[in-house]
Amino acid sequence: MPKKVIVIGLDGLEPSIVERLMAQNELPNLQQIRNSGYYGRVRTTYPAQTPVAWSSFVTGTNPGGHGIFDFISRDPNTYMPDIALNRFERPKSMLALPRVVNRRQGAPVWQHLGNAGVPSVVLRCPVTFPADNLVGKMISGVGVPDIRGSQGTGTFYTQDRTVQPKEHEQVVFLDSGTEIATHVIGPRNPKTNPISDITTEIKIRVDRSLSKLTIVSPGNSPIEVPVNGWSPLIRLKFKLSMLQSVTGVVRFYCRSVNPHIEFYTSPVNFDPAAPLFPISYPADYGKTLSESIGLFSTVGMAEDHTGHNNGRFDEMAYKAQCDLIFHEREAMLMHELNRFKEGLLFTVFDTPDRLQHMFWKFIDPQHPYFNRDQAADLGPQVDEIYRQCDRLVGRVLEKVDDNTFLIVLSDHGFNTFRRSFDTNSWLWQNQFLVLKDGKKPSDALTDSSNVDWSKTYAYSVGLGGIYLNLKGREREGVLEDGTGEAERVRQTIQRNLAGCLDPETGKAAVTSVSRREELYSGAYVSESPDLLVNFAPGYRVSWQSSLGGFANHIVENNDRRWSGDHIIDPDAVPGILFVNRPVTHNHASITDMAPTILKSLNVPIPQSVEGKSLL
Amino acid sequence: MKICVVTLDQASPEVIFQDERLLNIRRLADAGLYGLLESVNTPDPWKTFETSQSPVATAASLWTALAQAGLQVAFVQQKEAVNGFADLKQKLTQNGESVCFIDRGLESAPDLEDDARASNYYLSFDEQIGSLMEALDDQTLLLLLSVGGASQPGFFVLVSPNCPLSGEHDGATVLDLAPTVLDLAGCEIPSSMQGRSLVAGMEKRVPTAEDHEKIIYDRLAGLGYV
Repeated sequence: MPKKVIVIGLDGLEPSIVERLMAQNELPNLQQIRNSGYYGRVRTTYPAQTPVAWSSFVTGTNPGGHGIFDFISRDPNTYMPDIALNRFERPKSMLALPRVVNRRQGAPVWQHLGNAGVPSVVLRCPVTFPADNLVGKMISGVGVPDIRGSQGTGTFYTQDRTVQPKEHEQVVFLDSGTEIATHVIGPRNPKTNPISDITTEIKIRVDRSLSKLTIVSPGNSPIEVPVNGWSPLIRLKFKLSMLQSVTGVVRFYCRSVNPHIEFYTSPVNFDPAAPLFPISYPADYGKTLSESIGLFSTVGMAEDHTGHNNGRFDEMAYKAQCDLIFHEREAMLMHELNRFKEGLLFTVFDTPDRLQHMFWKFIDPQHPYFNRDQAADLGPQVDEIYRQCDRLVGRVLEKVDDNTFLIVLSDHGFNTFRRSFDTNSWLWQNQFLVLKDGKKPSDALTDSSNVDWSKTYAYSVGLGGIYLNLKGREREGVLEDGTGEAERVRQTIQRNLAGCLDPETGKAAVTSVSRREELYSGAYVSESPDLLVNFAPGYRVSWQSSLGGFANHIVENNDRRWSGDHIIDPDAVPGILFVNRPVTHNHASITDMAPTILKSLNVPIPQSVEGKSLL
Repeated sequence: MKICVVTLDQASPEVIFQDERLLNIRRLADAGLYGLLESVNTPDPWKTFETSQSPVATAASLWTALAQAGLQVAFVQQKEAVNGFADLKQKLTQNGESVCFIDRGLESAPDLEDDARASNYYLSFDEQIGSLMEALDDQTLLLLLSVGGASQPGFFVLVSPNCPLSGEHDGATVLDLAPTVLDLAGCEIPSSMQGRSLVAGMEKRVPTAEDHEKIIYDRLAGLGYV
C-alpha cells in the first residue's frame, strides 16, 4: 500500500497533442509512467472550465455537489456578473476586517485525508482561496485576486501622452530625462470619495546606450531590466496611512528605451510573506516558503495574458513570463517533494493552459488571424510547453519510490477559438430577450443595463450558461418556476439553439444545449444556470455575452490574441490521465480521482463522493 | 451606544505607535483619533482620568455619569490575559448597553525591560485587540489608553462611529478623555470635570451604509475569458 500520493496537475493539456508527441517519442517521462501503469483520456466536467473541473477533482462530485459552475456567476438581484469562486463579506463593523469566503462547497479530498490523520500539501489548486484549514499545508491558486481586488490589473508606462488604457489596465505617463520619478499603483483607498489609488514612488534610470532601465525603489537594491526583459519579483511597500502599510510584489518589463521609454508592471500581487487575505495555511507558510524559494507570484491568474492581449508585450515576452511562473511553481513543488514523507502532495501548473490560450492561433491554419510567418516562429512553442511539462515529470519521477502512487492529469483539453457566438443576441433575435427603447444588440451594449427585464424570458451571463428570468429569483422575473410556460421557454431554447448554424461556414456552432437537471445533482444545483450551451470546436461564447452584454452579430471572428479555448462541448475536450499503477477501469472521469487518492492511501471513501476508484 | 475602555497601563507609546507589527492597534488608530497625552500634575493619573479632576476632589466620575444616563456599567478586572478579553467580549456582545473596562496594568504585564518578553506581550495584546475589533458592532465606542505616569507619557486611541475627528491629535490631556467619551455617548458632562471634550460643539457624524459600499471590487478585471 503506497504511503505517498503525488498529483501533478497540468492545466489544459490536450490529449491529441500528448498522443502525437508520445508517438514521436518526445515525452519520454510520461511514456515511462504509461509503460508502468496507465494512460487514457479523462472525462471533464460540464462546463469544461478550470475552476469547475478542479473542484470536481478535489471533491469527487459533479458541480451540483460543490457549487462551482463557472468562473462567473450572476447576482439575480442585479443581473450583474461576479467572480464565482469567492466572495468578500461586508465587515460587520467599521473596525472589523472584510472577510473572504471560498464559494466551493462540498468536502475536498484533503479534508477526508485529514480526518484519517493523513497530511496533505496542496500547492496552487484552483478555488482554494482563502486557504483551507487542513492537516498539512496549502498555497491558494486560481481565484486569488491582486492587491486591487481584481483578477489582474497591470500598468503601462509611456512618454506618449496620447496612449489610452486598454482592457483592465492602468496607464502612467512618464516625464523625459535620464532619471525619471514615477510611481507604482498599489491598492485602492476606499476611505476617499471617490476611491483613490495608493501609490509608491519609484525612480527609473535610463541607459540608452546599454538598452536597459534601472528601477530604484525604496527598500530594494537597484534592479536592472534589459529591453524585452522581465525583472525578478520586487517587494514594494504601499502606505495606506500614517500608521498602516501593505506590501505587494511586482515584476517590471522593459519594452523600449529608445527613442521613448516604455515599460510595464505586472498586477501587484499579494506579498506571499504578508498577504492582505489568507493565501496560505498555516498563515505563515507563504512566508516560510518564500524565504526558502524566493518571492513567488500569488495572484490566481499569474500569467499576465491581459498585458499581452493589450499588446503591451509580445509573444516571446509572454512566453518568458510564463517560464518564470512555471519555474516558481516547480521550485515550490521540488521544495515540498524534498520534504515529502507521507500523504498527498498535489500541485497544479497553470502555465500550459495560459500559454495555449494565447498561442493557439499559431498552430491553427484555419484561425481567422493565422499568420504563416508568426506560425513558423511561435507555433512550436505549444509543443515545447508539453515537453517542458514532461521534463518536470522527469524530475518528479526521480523522487518516486515503490511507496509512491503518481498521478499526472489535466483538467480539460484544448481547442481552437476561431469564432465567437453571442448567446444574448441569439436570445434577442428569437424574442426571448427584449431590449429597451427599440435598441439593438449592435448598439454597442456592453452589459445588460439596456435589457427590458419585464419582457425578457432568458438571458446569458458567464461562459456558456443561460438563466431563465424567474419570478421570485430574479429581481424582475417574469416566468413562474415549474410552470408549463417556463418549461416551454426552456425546451424551445434548448431545441432551437442546439445545432444553430454559423451563417458564414454553414456548420453548427452549437453542438447541444443541456438542461441543468440532465447534468447536475446535489445540494447546489439551484445555483447553476438553467441551461448550458455546449459549443462546437472552434466556437465559444462571445466576449460580450460572458458579461451579460451583446455583440454586433450572433457569430463573429474572434479578433483577440486569446485564440484558443476549451469551454466547448466537454466531450470534445477531455483531459489526459497518467498513473504509475495499473487501473481497473479505463473510462475515467475527473470525479474518480478523489476516491482513487483515498483508496490508495487506505482512507475510507465517504458516501458523498460520486466517482469510483481506479484501483 | 456601548462603551468599551481598555487600558494598557505603562505601555510605551513609542512601541504602540511605531512598531509596525502591531497591525490591529494601527488599524484601530487609523479608524479613529489618537495621540499622546500631555502630562498633568497629579499623584493618581488613573483617578484623574476617571474624574477629570486634578487633584481629585469629588466622587463624580466617568462611570457614575454613564450610569446616570442609564448605561449599565460592567467592570472586567484583568488578572489573566486571555480570560480578561474573553469576558470583555462576552459582556459587550451579551449586554444591550454596557460599559466595560479592562485593566491591563503593570500587575499583569511582564517585565517590560526584558525585550523579547515585552515584544511578545505587545504582540499578544495586539492580537487580543484584533479579536475584540472583530467582535464589536458599529454602535460601540472603544477607548484604548494608558494614563501615563512618572516614567511614561500616556496615550489614547479613540474610535467611535460618530466621532467627527480622526487622525493624530496633539495637546490632549488625561483630563479630556472622560468628557470626550461622555460627549460622544450623548451623556451630560458633570460640571466638576475640569477637562474639555475634544469634540465639543462639533456635529457628531452618523455612519451610513455607503461607508461600506465604497469597498467595491472590480473583481472580474483581468480574468481573460471575458
